[in-house]
Amino acid sequence: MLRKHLRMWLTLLLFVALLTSLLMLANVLEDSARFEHLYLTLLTMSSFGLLTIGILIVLNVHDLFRQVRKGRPGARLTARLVILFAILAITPVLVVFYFSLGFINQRLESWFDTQIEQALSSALQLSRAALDSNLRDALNKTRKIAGQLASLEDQLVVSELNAQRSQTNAAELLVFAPNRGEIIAISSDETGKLLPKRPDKTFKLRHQDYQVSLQPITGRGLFVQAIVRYQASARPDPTERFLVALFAVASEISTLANDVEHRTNNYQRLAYLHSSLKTSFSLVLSLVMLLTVLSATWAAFVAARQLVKPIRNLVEGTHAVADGNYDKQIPISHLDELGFLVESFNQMTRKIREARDSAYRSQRRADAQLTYLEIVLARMSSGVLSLDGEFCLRMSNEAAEHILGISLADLKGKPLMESCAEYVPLQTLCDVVAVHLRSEAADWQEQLTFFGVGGRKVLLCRGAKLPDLDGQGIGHLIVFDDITQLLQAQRDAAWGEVARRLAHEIKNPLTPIRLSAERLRHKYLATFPDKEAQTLDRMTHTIIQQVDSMKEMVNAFSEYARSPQIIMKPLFLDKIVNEVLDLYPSKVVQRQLETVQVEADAGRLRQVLHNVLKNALESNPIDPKITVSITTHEENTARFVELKIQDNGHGISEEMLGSIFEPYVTTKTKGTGLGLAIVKKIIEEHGGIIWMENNPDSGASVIIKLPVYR
Amino acid sequence: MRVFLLYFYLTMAFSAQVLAIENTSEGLFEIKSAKTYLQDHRYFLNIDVNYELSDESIRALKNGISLTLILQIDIVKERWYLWNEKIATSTYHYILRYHPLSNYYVVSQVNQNRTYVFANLSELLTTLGSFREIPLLEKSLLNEDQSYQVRLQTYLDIEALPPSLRTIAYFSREWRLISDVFNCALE
Repeated sequence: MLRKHLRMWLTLLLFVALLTSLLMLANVLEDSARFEHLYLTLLTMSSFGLLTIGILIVLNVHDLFRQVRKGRPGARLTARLVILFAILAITPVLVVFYFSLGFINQRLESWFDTQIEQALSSALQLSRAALDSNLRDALNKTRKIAGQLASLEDQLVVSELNAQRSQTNAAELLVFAPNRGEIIAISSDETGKLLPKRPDKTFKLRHQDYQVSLQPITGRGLFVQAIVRYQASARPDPTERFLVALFAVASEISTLANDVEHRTNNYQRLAYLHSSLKTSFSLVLSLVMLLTVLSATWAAFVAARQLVKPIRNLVEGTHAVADGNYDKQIPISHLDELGFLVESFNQMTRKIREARDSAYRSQRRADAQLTYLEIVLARMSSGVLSLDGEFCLRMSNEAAEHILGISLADLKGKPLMESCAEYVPLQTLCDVVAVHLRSEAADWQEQLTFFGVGGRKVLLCRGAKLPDLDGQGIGHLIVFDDITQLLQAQRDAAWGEVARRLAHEIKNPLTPIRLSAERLRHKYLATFPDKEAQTLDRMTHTIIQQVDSMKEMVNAFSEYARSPQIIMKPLFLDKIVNEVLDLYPSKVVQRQLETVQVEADAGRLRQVLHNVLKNALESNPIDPKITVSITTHEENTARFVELKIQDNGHGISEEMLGSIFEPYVTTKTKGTGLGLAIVKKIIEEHGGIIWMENNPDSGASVIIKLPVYR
Repeated sequence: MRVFLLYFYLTMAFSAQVLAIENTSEGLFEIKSAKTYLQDHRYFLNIDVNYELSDESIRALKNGISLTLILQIDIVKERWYLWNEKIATSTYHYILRYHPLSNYYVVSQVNQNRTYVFANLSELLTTLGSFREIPLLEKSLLNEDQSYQVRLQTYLDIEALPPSLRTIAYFSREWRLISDVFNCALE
């Protein structure tokens, strides 16, 4: 800022100095003796000053041109304003310059007139004619004095000179010996001061014996000098003498003649100088014009820059705002319309900045809430999926991936229904969810079962519609819980309660009933007649048998309902199967076993195998053939083992296939009907799934799917 | 544009004026001889100068312009290790005027109330060119072991011309009347 002010003041100082210099130059031309000795200095200074300003302006023009080419904000407007201002300022200057130049020429020419010149010349001639009589008179006087002196001795010449000077009113009389170069005698009213040039021995007369001329003497006026040669005849050897006489011209004539000479001189001087005067005036006028033009151009630059400055600031500010810099504030230099515009711009950027900060804070809050939500969702045991209006997956949590056993990160943004085909768990989920997503119901709930990485899973799904917040349609929220363990626990608890009640309500009375029947039999069998004894024997036997049967049934049920602690350990399934199959005749059993490791309770697994093999043997009591196979499969990310036990029995009716593993569902006349229910229970406790299907040719197959140990 | 054209014309006119003097006398100032001598323990100088004015300067003189001729005399001490040292300077100004009434030429020396009148210019210039008994300085002021030189130059003083004429005179050969520097030993 200081540098800018300094530059401005220096430029202003330069202009003032130049103007002063030009004024002094003009003053010199008006014959002012004050600055006459500075003429060359002033001329040089002015020229160099103008050259400096010219160079500065050229540099400014170059700089402006460069800015225009670079597309600097406001450069084009500045250029236009500079051109406009320059034209507006320079045009009148040029007009004034043109007419001033003409005026100067006209005025200078008008000074000189041939009539005046002629008049002055005539006056000069007249003056000369008037003086010529003085010259003749002086010559006559001098000749007369010389005649008087010719007969005198040198010693007497002085007194005669004094007398003659008084008589003739001569200013000075001098007798001079030209051969010796010495003054013989002199008579003067002011000795030694008058004669401007006294003759010496080299002096020669222009005419043969006289010379007369006008002698202007500085400070004294005009004089007539007459020199006459004469022979000093009084001497024995006549010698040549010069008489030099000086006569003052009459003061009126002298004054007038001097005046005429002075004026003629002045006129001739001016006439001689008029062409150089024209040149000098034109030069000074041109310098003034140049100064004015350059000043106007410079002022145009300054004014244009001052005018454009707020606009350029506004453009730069707009660019800054466009680039996201809302902190940009433009300084207000003037309280005019542009200042109001700048203030409005500043207000706008302030408001944009406040809005941006507010949006940023809101974003931060939203991000914090999202983070909070993600943390909450991540810690939730329920799986959560959110879909947009196009059923594309928007969000999921870790629990969802854990429950479904698949990574959902790759599915984000993709339609859920299209992704379903690739993942079995998702396919099962989609089958259930699809119906509800397309329905109008706001909330829904459904339970589903699938076999995934962790084995069989039962999910409780709940869904709700989400409001359309971001214009992407009505979204959907799906929340599902893995209730496999919960169902198992509920079932165990229910069957346990039944078993406890059976034990309490049924099993407890059985012992007294059996004991009473045995006492009756023991006490009265021997005493009763044969017929009654046989009846008693049969009845008590029936009671005891039925009580035992009921006891067995209750025990079996207790066994089913009992929930012993399962001890899961990694083991080779084929080894366990071989151990169990070795207990059965080899001709009955065929095995195709792959070696595979599962995590299971070996005892419970053997119980399952025995139950299933026993059922298979009983399905064809005459010629049983059992084929046991172990195969491993992989579906997407889930790897599981499939244990298949095929028999060659009669198979199972289609209506019983769905409920064959329910308690008290059996095709046999004997048995508790809990065998397959216990098998299913154990398999589900191992995270497996079991089902039965009829073989294509004959018999049925029990298929058990267990997750492979990882 | 008109301004630049005008400037161009002025420059051309000025150049033409300068070139127009090709066939006229340009004048010549030449110091032909200079001799110092010692008299009564004081050095004096006699100089013979050939003053020949240019036609333009004579025309100016006859039109009432005074011409100032300057004779500059420098006494310098010779130094082998550096440039010579100027120890004294004398400048004589002679003003030439023309009186149209008497048709005489007058020369006067500035600061001295002495005026000489001549019937013609050549007589004036011849008389003016013979400078006699110009006092220089006392011998006692000089070092005897040191050698001294008198450096002379005479020229027409352009600065004494009317200002309007100076602009042209600065650039005109006719007005640039200056002799070469003449050196003579001070002995």
